[in-house]
Amino acid sequence: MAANVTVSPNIVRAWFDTVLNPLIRSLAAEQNVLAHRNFTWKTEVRRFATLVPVREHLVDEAQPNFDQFLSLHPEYNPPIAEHDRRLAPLAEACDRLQQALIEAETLRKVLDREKVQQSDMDFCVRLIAEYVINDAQTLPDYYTIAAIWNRHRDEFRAALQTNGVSPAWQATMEAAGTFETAVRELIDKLSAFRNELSLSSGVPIVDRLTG
Amino acid sequence: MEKRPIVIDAGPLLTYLALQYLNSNDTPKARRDQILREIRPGSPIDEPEQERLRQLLRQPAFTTAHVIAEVLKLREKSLLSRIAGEFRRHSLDILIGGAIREVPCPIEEMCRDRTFANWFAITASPMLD
Repeated sequence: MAANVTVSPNIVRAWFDTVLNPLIRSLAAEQNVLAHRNFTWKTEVRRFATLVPVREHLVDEAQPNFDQFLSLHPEYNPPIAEHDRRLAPLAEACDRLQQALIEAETLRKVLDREKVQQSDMDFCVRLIAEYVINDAQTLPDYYTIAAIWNRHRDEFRAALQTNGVSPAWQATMEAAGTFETAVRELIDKLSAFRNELSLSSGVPIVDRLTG
Repeated sequence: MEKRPIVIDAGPLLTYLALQYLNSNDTPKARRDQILREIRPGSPIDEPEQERLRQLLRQPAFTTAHVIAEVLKLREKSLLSRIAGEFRRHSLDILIGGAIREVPCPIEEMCRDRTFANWFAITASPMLD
C-alpha cells in the first residue's frame, strides 16, 4: 500500500464489494474451467465465454474503484498485465485449432457415417469442434447431438493427433498451461492482499450473506 | 432419442429468460455475471451450467400462469427491473414462441388435490419479495 495513504473503511468496503470480491470470484471461475480443460470456447463467435481480460470481469460502474485501487497499488499492474498477455495467445491458439478441426476429414467422415444431412453438416462440424476444444465429456441426452458425440467421442478426439490438427492442439495446450499459471498467481496475490487489508482495516471480506 | 417434456419452475425459467435476453444483446460478461448472480444468489451459474440449461430448454417444456406471472413480476430493486420493459418484451416473444407451453393450473383443482402441498413446489421460489 502507498506508504502515506490510509484508506478509510468505507473505501475498503467498496473495494471488496465492487472490485476484489467480484474479481477473485471470476478468476476462480477461470481457474475452475481451466482445471477441467473446458476453455468455454464458442466456435460461433470465436471467443471464450468465461476467459476474458481482467478489466472485463468488472462492470463499468466499478472501473473508477478499480483505477483507484491500482493507483495506490501499482504492484498489481504486472500480474494483471501478465494475465491478459497470456490470454491472447490462448485465444489465437483456440481459433487456429477450431479452423484445423473444421478442415480435418475425421469429423466429417464420422458425421457422414451417421448420415448427417449435408445441410446440417457445417453446423454439426462446428459444434463437434467446440466439444473437442472444450474437452466435453459424455453429454446428457438432451444435448442436440449427444447421441453422435457420445458414440464417437474418442474418434472425434483422435483428430487432435492427426498431422493437420496436432500442431494447433499442442500450441493450445502450451498456451493454456502458461495462462493457468498466470491466473493462479493473480488469484494468490489478490487473495493475500484482500486478507491483509481486511485484517488491518477491520473490514470483513464479506459484509453479509444474501439469498 | 425422443425428447422428454419437462416442467419448469420460476427459478430456472427466470434464469433461462435472462440468459436468452443477455445473449440477444451481447451483454458484456461482467454485467451478465452480475445479473445472474443476483437472480441466483448463493448458487452461481457459470458457463458450463448455462450451456446445460440452454440445451435442456430445447426440449418441450411446460409451465403455469402462476410461474410466468412470478417470473415477469421482477423484484422492484433488481437489475432486471431497470430494463423491465425490454426484458419482458423479449421474454414474452420466447414464451409465445411455442417452445415453452403454458398449462392450466386452476386453484379449484389444486385445492381438491390431496397432494395439495406438492403443488406449492411448482411456484415456490425466492423471486418474490
